[in-house]
Amino acid sequence: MAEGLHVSLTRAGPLRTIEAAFSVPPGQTLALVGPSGAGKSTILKAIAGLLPTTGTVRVDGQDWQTGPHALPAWQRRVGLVLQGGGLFPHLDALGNVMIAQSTPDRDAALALLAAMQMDGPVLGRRPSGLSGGEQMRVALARALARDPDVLLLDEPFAAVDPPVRRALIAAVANVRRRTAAPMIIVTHDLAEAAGIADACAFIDAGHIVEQGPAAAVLANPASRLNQWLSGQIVAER
Amino acid sequence: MNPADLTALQLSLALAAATVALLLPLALLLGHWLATTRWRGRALAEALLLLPLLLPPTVVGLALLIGMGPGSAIGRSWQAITGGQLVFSFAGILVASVLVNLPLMVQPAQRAFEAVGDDLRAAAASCGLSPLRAFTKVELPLAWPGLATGAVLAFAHTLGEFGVVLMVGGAIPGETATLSLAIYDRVQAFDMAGAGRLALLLLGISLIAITLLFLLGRRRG
Repeated sequence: MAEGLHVSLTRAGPLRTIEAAFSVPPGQTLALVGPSGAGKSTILKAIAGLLPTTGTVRVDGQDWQTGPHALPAWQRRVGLVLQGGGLFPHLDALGNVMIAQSTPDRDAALALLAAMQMDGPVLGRRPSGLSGGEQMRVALARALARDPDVLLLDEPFAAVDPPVRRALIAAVANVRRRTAAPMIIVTHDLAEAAGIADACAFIDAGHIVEQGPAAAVLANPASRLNQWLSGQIVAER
Repeated sequence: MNPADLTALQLSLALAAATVALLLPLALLLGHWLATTRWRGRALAEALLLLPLLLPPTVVGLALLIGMGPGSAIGRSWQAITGGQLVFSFAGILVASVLVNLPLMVQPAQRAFEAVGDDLRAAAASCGLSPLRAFTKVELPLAWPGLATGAVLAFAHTLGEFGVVLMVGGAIPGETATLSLAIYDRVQAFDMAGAGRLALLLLGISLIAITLLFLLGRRRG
């Protein structure tokens, strides 16, 4: 039964300890908002099982972290979009999607790419021949190819120009419509968070300092981080 | 080219090919491990691996002569299994050649696996690729130029290896007398023309190998 994602993690690092607890219901999107180095990407990687972490990552009632349902990274059904896309440079666009399918299905991969506005000769190009926006579209299609239980997007719009960014936001909205998997999107842009997320969690120096429904926390910033990001506090951090 | 020269050439080529064949799986495993391990002793392992390249060949040769000699555990075990000595045999110079060339193949392999990067390893895991599939589908296709570089270097270096092969092999014609040892023998016998001929042959083969390496690099670029 779909219960969504419940995360409660602690990771002791050399510089700081990261602690985070939050939930994302099925079909909903949580924006993890915070400045660079706050620990946002670390939390995503911990959910994906890519970093040693203590705590729980409960997905639809099963704890991926410890106990009988504990899973190594490659067995966690996660759709991960890394900063810059993280495409395999030796594979073309279609190959990058098909490698994530449990059984190769060319037509299904083509359909996913088409849903991200990717079709025609561009599918035969390797990442080095694709624009930043195209790479991100392929990465989004690849994230869906595994029929993931959880979608994790790490600053998907960080490295593109504003027009491409608007188109990619539409592509992510399309991703949202195609799956009920809980989605987490990492960003340090409040406008981005407002446009995409159902809920926001503000993270600063490894700790969540404020969280709640997107409309409420963006309208009434309670934490200094939220106030600073929304321009209510003008100060150097 | 007289039959003795031809035998020496065949022996050199066989030694170089066998060295590369044995080193390939070792370089894959060691190079990948060194590129990905977070073990604290990694620097020491890297230093130990470089040692055969930095020590004088006579020192490495002496160590191997003692370590693989009839008085050693390895030498006795070899004799019990095969009935012959490990030192002063083709198998002996092959073991020596593998050890001496280990850093030449492991280093480029390690650098190539390091260049794959943590992000692509993370992407491979999140695509559901098991560690073995991630290795064969992602890491190996990206790292093979580094492995090929190491293989060509080890091949060319084995052809020119002198000190260690002489110490461990003893220059027995048809068994351990490689092309570079044959050149030395010719010079000792004041046959400078013969030595020059063999030297040119060795130069030609090495040049072809290194040119192949650069062509490979250009295609990759």
